[in-house]
Amino acid sequence: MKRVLCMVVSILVIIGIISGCSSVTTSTTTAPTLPVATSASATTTATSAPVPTTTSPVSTTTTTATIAEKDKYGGIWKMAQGVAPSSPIGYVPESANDSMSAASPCLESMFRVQKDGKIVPRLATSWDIDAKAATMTFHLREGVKFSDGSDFNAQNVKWCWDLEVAAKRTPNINSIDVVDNYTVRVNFKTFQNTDVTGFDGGYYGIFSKASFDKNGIEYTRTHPVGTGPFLLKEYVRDSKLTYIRNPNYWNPGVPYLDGFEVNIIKEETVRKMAFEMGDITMLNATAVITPDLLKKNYVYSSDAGGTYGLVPDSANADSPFANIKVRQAISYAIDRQAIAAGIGANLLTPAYQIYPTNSICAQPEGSYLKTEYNVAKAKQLLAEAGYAGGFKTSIHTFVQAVNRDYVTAIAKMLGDAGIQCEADFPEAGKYQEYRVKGWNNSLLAHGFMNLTSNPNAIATWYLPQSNITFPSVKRPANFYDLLNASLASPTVDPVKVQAAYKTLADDFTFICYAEDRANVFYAKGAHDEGGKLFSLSFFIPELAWLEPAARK
Amino acid sequence: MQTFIIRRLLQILLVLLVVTMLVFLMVRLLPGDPILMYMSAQNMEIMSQEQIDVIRHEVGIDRNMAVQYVDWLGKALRGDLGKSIINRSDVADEIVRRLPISMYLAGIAFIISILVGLPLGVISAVRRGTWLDTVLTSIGNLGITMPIFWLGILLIYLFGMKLNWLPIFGYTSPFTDFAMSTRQAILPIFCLAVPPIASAIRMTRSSMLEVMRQDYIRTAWSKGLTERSVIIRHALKNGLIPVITMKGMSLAGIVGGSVIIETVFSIPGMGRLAVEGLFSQDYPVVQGVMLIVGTVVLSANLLVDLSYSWLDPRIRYS
Repeated sequence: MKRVLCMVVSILVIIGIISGCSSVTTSTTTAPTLPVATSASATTTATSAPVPTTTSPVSTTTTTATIAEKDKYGGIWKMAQGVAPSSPIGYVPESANDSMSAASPCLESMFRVQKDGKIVPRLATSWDIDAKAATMTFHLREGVKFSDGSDFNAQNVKWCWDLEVAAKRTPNINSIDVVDNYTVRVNFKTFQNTDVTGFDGGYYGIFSKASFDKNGIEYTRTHPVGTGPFLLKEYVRDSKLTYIRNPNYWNPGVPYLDGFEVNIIKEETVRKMAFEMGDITMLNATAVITPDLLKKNYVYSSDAGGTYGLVPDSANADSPFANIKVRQAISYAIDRQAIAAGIGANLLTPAYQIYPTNSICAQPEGSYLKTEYNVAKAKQLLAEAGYAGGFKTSIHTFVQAVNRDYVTAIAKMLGDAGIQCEADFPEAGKYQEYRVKGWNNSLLAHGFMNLTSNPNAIATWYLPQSNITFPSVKRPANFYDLLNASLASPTVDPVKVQAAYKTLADDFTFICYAEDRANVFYAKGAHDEGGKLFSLSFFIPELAWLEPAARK
Repeated sequence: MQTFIIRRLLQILLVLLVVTMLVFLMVRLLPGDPILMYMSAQNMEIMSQEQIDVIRHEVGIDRNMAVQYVDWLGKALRGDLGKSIINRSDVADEIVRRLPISMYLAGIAFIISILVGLPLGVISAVRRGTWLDTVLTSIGNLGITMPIFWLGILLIYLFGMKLNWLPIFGYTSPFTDFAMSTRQAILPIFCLAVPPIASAIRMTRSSMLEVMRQDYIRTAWSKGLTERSVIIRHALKNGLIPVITMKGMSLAGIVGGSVIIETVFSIPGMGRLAVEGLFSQDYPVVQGVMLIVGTVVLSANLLVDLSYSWLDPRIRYS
C-alpha cells in the first residue's frame, strides 16, 4: 500500500513538473472589455499652469504608433518594484507615499499636474483659488460612482479630508465646507501654493465612505474602494498587486489595459533578468544596471531625476562644518566628473545644486559659486578655516538610497584633500535616527527627490520649519522669509523660488555632486503615454497600452 | 515515555520564554527607533514632537520594558500577537497566511535533503576511496561552502534567463495552480535543500564509516550476509542516530536559509516577513515571527529525540 501511494505521489509530482515546464506563459485574468472610444478623453481638458517646469526626456522609442485606437485595448501590463507598500493602501489617512502609489489606480485625486505644468482635471472639473481668503473651492465631477456603487459627492470628499486633518497630516488646512452636493471648499490657515498642487497627490485620494461604513477599517486598509480606472483584484503583501480594469469608470475612453500587475522583487538583478526574460513589461532601472540594458537595444526612456548630495552638520557650533570655508573645501575636493563618468557610467551628470538643472529653482550659471574639482583650493580653504592639518570625519548613508560606491569614492577624495573620512553604512533605523535626531562632526550622504509638481516642496520637505528633519543643518538667514514669500504666491513664481533657493546655494547647506536620471526600459510594443506626459517615476496605468503582439 | 514528553514540553516552554525575552530585548537594542521608521514611511516633515509622542503612546512603546513584555506575552498566550507598527496589519493573521508557504518550501527541502543526502552518504562510505566517493565528498564540500544567495542568482540566470525553463520569482499555492506552483517552487526548494543535502552526505558518510568498523558488522559479514543486508539492516540504522540529530538541527538552518531565499525569489513567506519586520524595526512582527519559528524548530527537535528510541531500542526514556 505504501509503495503504491509513493508511486502515485511521485507520478503526480513528475506530471506537474513536466506539464509546468512545457510552457513559459503565465495565466492572466481578462477583465470585461470597455466599449471602444474614438478619443482618449472628452473630459480631461487642460487648465492653467501654476508650475512652469521644464524637462527634457530622452527616449529611444523606435515604434511608431500606427495602431488604430480600437486596437489599443487589451492586455496585462507587468511591472516590478523593489519595495512593497509599507503601510495600509486603502485607508488614506494611514498611507505612506509608497502605499499611495499602490492605491492611486483606484483612488483618484482632484487633478494631475503634467510635466509642462498643465493641470489635468480628475475628480474636480474646475476650482477657484482665493489667496487672500486662503481658500480653494473645488467643483466636483457629477455622475461619478465609487466601485462599490455608491455616489461620489462633496459629503464624501469632506469626510475623507476631515480624516486627513484629524490625522494631522495636513496641518495647514483649517476646515472643509460642503457648499453644495458637488462643491467643496477648503479653508487654509495661511495660503501656500504647495497646498494647491498637493491636491494632485495621494494624500487627497478619495475613498468610499459607504464601503468604509459597511466593511470597517480593517477591510479598508487593504481594499482601496475609489472611483479610479482600476480595481485592486488581489493584494499579496510583499509579493504582488493585481489590478483589473474598472468597467464602470467615469471616463469611457480609458483605461486601455485589461489590467496590470506589480510584482515585488527586492533584488534588482532578479528584476533585470525578469525583464530580459519577458516577464516584465516595464523596468525602472538604476544607473547600476542601465548601461548593460542600453547595449541590448530595449526601448528606453529617460527623464530628469533627483540629485545626490552631502549634508554637513552646519548647525553644530563645535563641528568643522559650521565654517562655510570647510563646506566649500568639501565641495572643491569632490571630483564630480569622475563620479558621473566612472561610477555613474555617464548616466549621472555633475550637480552643484540640490535641484536638477532643468528645475525652475536652479540658479543660473554664474550666479552662484561653482566649485569645480580643485584639491589645492580645497586645502587652501581648509587652512584658512584653521584646519591646515585636516580633521577626522565620517559620511553616513543608507545604501538603499545612495550607491555605496559614490560614498566610498568621495571619502577617498576627501582624504586626498587632507580630511580623514570614514564611509559608514548604517541600517535604515540608524540612518533615520541621524536624519531625525541629528548627527555630529560628520556628513549624511542623501538622495534628494525631484519634486516637479511644485519645487517649493523640496524646501518644505527637507528643511521644514518644525526642524523635525535634518536638525543638524543650519538654515541660512532669510531662508524662511524668502520661502514663505514664494509659498504665498497664488501660482509658483520662479523669481521668488530662485531667491529662496539661492540662500541654500550660497551657504553650501547641501553639497550636491551628482544628478540622477529616471531610466525606464519597456518591452517591445509597450507604450507608456503617462510617462511622457507626467513623470517616468509614477506610472499612470490608464494611459498605458500594449500593441496586440505585446499582449502575451 | 509520557513523562519524558511532558518534561521535554516543559523544557520547550522554558526555552521559548527565554527566546522571546532575548528577542524582545535584542530588537530594542538595535540602533534606530520604530517610530522614526514609521515617520519615514509617513509624511514626516509635518509632524511635531507632540504627534510623535502620541504615536509612541498609541503603539505602547513608551512604557517600561518589563510592562511591555508582560503585556505582549499575556496577549500572545491568548493568540494575539499584536499589530504591526508600520502597516497596522494583525501579526497573527499575517503569520497564519505566510507560515504554510514557508512550511511547504522548507518541508519539501527537508524531505529531499533526507531522500538524497542519506543514500549518497551511504554510497560514499561504502565506496570509500573510489572516484565515486571523491565526487560525492566534493559535492558535499561544495554544497556546504556555497552561499545560497549566490546559488539562487546563479540558478535564476541559468534556468530562468538562459534556458527559460522555470519562472524566477513569485509563489502560487499548489491548490490554485499545481503546475505553476511546482515550477515556481523548484529553484527555491533546490537552493534550500543544497546545504542540508551536503551536510547529510558528509555526516552519513562519517557515521557509516564509524559503524562499519564495529565488531557486529564484521560478524554480519562473516555470517555471509549480502552487502545490502549488512549495510541497510545492520549498519544504517545505528549510523543514523547522529545523522538524525544533525537533521533536527539542520531544520533551523533551512528556516534561516528561507529568509534569504524568500527574498531572492520574491516569496511571501515567514522569512520575508522577518526581514521586512527587522529592517523596519517592527517589534511586534519580529517577536511574533520568532515565537512561531522557535516553536516549530523546538517541536521538530522533540520529534527527533523521540525517533531515537525507534532507531536504537536500547534507548529508553524515563
